[in-house]
Order: sequence, then C-alpha cells, then structure tokens
Amino acid sequence: MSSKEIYSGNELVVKGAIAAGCRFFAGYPITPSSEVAEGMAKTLPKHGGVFVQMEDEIASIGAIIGASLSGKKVLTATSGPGFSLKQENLGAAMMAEVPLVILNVMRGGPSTGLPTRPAQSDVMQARWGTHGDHPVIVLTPAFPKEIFLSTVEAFNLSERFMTPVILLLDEVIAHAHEPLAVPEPTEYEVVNRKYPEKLDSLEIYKREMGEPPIRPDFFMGLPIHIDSLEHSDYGTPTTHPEVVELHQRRRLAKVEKYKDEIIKVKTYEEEDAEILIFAYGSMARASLDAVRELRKMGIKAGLFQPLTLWPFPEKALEKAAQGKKKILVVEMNWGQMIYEVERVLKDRNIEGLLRMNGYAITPVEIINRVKELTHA
Amino acid sequence: MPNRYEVRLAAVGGQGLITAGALLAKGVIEKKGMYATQSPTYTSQVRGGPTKVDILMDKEEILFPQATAIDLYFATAQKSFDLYYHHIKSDAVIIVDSDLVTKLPPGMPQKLYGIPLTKETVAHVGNIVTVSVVALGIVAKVSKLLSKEELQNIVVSSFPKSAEELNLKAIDLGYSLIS
Repeated sequence: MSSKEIYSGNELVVKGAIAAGCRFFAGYPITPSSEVAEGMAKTLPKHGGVFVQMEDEIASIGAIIGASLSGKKVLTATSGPGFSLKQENLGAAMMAEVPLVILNVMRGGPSTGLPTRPAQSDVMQARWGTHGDHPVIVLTPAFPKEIFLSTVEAFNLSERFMTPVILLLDEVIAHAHEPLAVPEPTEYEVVNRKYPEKLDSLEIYKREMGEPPIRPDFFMGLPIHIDSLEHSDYGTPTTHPEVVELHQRRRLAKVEKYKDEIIKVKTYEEEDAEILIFAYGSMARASLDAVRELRKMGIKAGLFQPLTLWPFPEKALEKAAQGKKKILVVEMNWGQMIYEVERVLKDRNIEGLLRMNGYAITPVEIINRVKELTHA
Repeated sequence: MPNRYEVRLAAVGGQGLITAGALLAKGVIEKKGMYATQSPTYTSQVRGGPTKVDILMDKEEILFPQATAIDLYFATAQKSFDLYYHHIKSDAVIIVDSDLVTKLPPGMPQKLYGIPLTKETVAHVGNIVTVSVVALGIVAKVSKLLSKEELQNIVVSSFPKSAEELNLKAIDLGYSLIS
C-alpha cells in the first residue's frame, strides 16, 4: 500500500489514465476539467506519451480518434459546452468502433452556463447526445478511490468493446482535494484491445452478434477501411438493409449482451431500509452522509449508488428497491435520471430532490426531505 | 481538538488563499492525523474574480466534501465576502481585511475581527505575495488547528528555500495580529 497523498478528483483521473496505459491526450481546456489537461501535459511526456492542446473541442476528439486508430489508448477532457461540440465525432467513434475515453466534468448548463459551479445535467446527453441508435457506456464514480478505479475501468471497457466510454464527474468531486493511497497495480486489471493472429483479412467487422471488431491498427501493414458511414464487413460504405441492420444490431448488442459484466453499483444500508435514495457522483456522497445521520435518528434510510449510469442498472435497482415504501432520487438537474428510475420501478412511490442553481444539495437538505417523506 | 471543524477562506483570484487552504488541509492531515479535504471554487476570471476554498477537518472520514456548517470565515475582499457568506454557523468566528471588507450584514451574529491584513503585510513583511501566509498564521492561531511550529514546518517544507525567511516573518506577523 502506498502512503496517502492529497489529490483532487481531476488529478485522480490523470493517475488512473496513466495507470490504464493512456499515452495520448488531445484537449481544449475548460473549467472545471482543466486540471486534467494540465496534469496530462505534465505527466504524459514522462511516460513516452503525447499531449496536444488543440484549437477546439471538435479537433480534440478528432485527434484522439486518429491516435486510437494508430494504436494508442486515448483521452480527452471537457465540460458541458465542449461535450456538446464533441457529439458528432463521438457518434463517428461509436460507428467506426474506435476505443476512446471522454471525461466530462459537469457544470451548470445549458450553453456556457455556470463556470464553475456544479451540476449533473449532462446525464441524458451522455446517453442520447449523439444522433442515431448507439451503444453507450457511462461511468459515474463518487469517492476518490472510485474515481481512480473507474478511470482505469473506462479504458478497459473501451478497449474490450472497441467503443467510446464516457466518464462523468461533477465539479464537486473534480475539485475536492482529498487524501488517498493510490491503488497499486495489483488492485486492478489493465485490458488491451485484441489483434488478429494473422494480418490477412480486410473483413475487419465480420464478427458474431455483440462482438467487437478485431483488427490491426493503422500502419501495421494492412490497408483497412474505417468509415463513419454505415459499412460492410470490409468497413466500406453500404446502404444494403440486411447489412445495415446486422451491424446496427451487432454494435448495440456489444453493451446489451455484456451488461451484467459492465454494470457496477454500490448499496449502503439498503436491506432493511424503508426509504431508498438513488444518487450518483457527489450526490451519492451527500446522500450517504445523510443516510448515516438518519440511521442515528432511527430512520431507516438506504442508498443505491450506480457507478455505471449507462447501461442503466435495471436489475440491481429492482432488487434493491424491493419492499421499499419510498424512493428518493437526488440529482443536481431538473429531473433526468428520475425518468429511468420511474421506468424501472413503475408502480413505486418515487420522489425527487432536484436542483439546478449551481449549488450542491447538502446532506442536511436530504435529511429534511427524507424526514418529510417518512413523517418522522 | 473538535471532532469537526470547517474553515472558509474567501478572496479574489491571485491572492493565494487557495494555496493557503491546501496547506492547512495538508497540515491537519500530516500533523494531527485527522481526515481533511479542501475544495476550491473559482470563476472563469483568472485574476480578480471571487474565489473561495473550504477546508473541512474531521476525526472520521468526510463523506461530503463541501462546507455546510462553517466555524471560521476569513474574507479578504468585499465581493467575495458577500458571495460566500452562507453556511456560516451563528457562533462562528469571522475575520476580514478591515480595509477591503467594510460593509457587513446588519445584525450579523458571529464574532467579528477586523484586521488591516494587506496594509500590515506590506508594512511588516514587505512583500504582498505573503498575504496568504499571514492569513494562515491568523487562522492557525484562532482555530488552534495547528501549533505555530507545525504551521512553520508545513509552510517551509512546501515552498523553495529562498522563500523561507519571508514566510516565517509572515507567520510571525499573522500570530501577532490577533490575540
């Protein structure tokens, strides 16, 4: 175990990225994510990596797509306004099946909104921001160790499924500086993309349902075709309906087929809880603080914390919510994930504690709302 | 030593108070073995924009890393004082630079110390960049979170040797400005 040092959430993303093998970063600084660009600029050269500050957010994701196709593990970091700009190329990376990690440290929106105040209002954009039906993996860690491990996990999932993975933090946890003994390499796994045994086939997308392509990188000697247009097994453009449907379904199935392996959640005090709180990111931390206090007052509250927001942890939530009288969704937006909770827990009594004014919801406010709901 | 103690330093970008907050948290972790976090807040304006840093100290793990019941509020600019005067306990201690924070809310219940911090720093340390270290001296003395020796040790070990003499002078000044 290494000794404890003080890190911000953003610094832990840098640590996690390097530990996962990230060796290329392209970005355009934006608060509250700028410390990630700063940290990558300082750290990457020491590991033989490359840092590029691009002219804007669109160019940044373009650059990491290129670097990923050339064999690097890649990262870009941004906040809401930049995340909006990246949506088109995010779709291109999903279509061409290019592994990459995008960090979005959420701040108040819409537009340039609230620099630099916290929000969690990009959670639906992370799911549906780019057009078309597409597979999505979104991770929402909360505590320092989770931020480090989820960053490693983001790279692992992107390499395994050959798809972009979105890491969502919010300003509160990105800027909080806290002591942590950074996990040793024995405490996590590092996954690398698979390569074909022989460089003899141009049918790089010819795979079973739900399986990612296995292909060489650029410059390995095979003239592979990569396209953002819908494509055949060869990667060349097609509008043939059967081919289109096959690959659309294959890409969606990558996440659907393996969602039980992808999804991670944590629960606290949920077994005998009468009221279950659903919260992620910094709001999971405020909620856990509230749950601990409520228990001292004799109020049976519990917490469901998704570390994977997308694919949505339906089964785990259903299980945790069994027998609960009330569900309280705590989020720093005007009601986004509450729709998913309502979809999964149809007939349950679901309430929201929501905010969008740039200030975090505090444990005391959560305690008061729970007391109201439980008539304590 | 209380079970929990929350400090907020409010300033404008460039005064160095965020760095001071980081040193306070580091000091409490290293010297007292307590759990501590520090969370800076700033605007997109780099210099001159209102900034704050919340330092939380607890004997147990801190679950939510933002200040909600502040024991000590220290402000060195009017606009920052106004913006961040919330979540302050009614029995908290408030310290302001008395030349720069002149308008206070009517009926403010907290105990107030007005100190001509910037003026004193220029007069007695001679270098305005040490104003955040002077502030740290004041905070350490009032809060009793760190002894003077502990603070000196943390500050000296965090900056280049060339700044040592100036920083020690700044700590001495901070300790002399408040009883």
